[in-house]
Amino acid sequence: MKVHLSHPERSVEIKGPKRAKEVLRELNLVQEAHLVIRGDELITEDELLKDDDLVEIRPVISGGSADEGFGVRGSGFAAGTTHPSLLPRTSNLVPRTHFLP
Amino acid sequence: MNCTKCKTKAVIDLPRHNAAFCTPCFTTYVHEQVAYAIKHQRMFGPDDRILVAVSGGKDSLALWDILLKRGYKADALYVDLGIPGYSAKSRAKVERFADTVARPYGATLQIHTVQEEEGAGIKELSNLVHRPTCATCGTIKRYQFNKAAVEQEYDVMATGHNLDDEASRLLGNVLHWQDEYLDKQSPILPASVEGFAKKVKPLYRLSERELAAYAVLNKIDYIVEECPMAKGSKMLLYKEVLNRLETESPGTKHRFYWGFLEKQTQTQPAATSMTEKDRALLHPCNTCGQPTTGEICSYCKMMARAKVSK
Repeated sequence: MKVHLSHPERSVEIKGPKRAKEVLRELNLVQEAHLVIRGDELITEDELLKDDDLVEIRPVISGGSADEGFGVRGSGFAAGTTHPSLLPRTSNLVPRTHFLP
Repeated sequence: MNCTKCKTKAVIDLPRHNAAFCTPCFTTYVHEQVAYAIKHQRMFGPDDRILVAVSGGKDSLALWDILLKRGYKADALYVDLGIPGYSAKSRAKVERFADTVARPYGATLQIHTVQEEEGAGIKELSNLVHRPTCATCGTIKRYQFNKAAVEQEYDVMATGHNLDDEASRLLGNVLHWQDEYLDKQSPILPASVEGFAKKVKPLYRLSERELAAYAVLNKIDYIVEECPMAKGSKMLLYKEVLNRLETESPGTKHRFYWGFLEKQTQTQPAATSMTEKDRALLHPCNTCGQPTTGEICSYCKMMARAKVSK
């Protein structure tokens, strides 16, 4: 079967029939971070995929911005400056490297 | 695999709930989780005006969709950061959703273009002020979303932060013992002083996979592509680690974050004392008038540095 993957975008060929969870395992992908879509239908991990199926494995993880970032002042809530309840006891904006050992 | 509720064919399995759902039952599940979050955390009422921060991604568009379908008065604001090859695509997704889904509900979309308003795109701005792009993005977004919510008198501002966002942020804070943040990681932040909008996260009970599934099943056309600026971020690493744990031990993420919230409610001081503390710390920014702990807020400082460097 032809399996379409993202990040980076590519297609791979996997020999069927196989259950969706076996395809994920073969590609070393965790279920919790992906959806398996056959044609345009979402399927569960026990679904059997055949050689003539067109499958998309779609990653679901996003983020990384300061909007949500730990240790980055504001955490998506403050404006203009940091919301006071999010202020650390030490001073001003610290780059991410601050948290490295 | 069959639906746990109606026994028809399931389209998604949720190991953390030991359940599987068909499309209608899954949509109901998602809506119920959001309804519970809104009620349990006292986020807003049926007559409140809500400003949703949208990005074109699955979470924020799903949030806007859910709020509109549940009868809330929800408008949205999109901040166009001018990221080459990315912002144009995400903006198009938001505009399409606004035209096809939101407009029939009478909801409106506002767009703030960084290139026009701040005079440069996000990459150029972050280079000018020598700060990471994600940090610059966060400062601009927080400022503009709050400004819009306050100036246009919205009762509350809602963001699409989900369970994975909150659990990974908590993990980051715990790993680095950023304990000054630990007691602030709540799904609501009150409008404690004039100039700060109330902020809420109605999706904190739903995982990224569940929200992506909701978007697919409800034909929400979102940007699947990852923001090129986020590559290599620690947040993504923490999410990956948590998802490995979740796969081996379903329920880990919600037990981690919800358990933390439960403990927090037992120890956190009352909201009134938090408001008093905020009032003591804040005064208007000398430049723009928005609340700040310094003389000039971080957004105005950043814009001043950008002008000098140009």
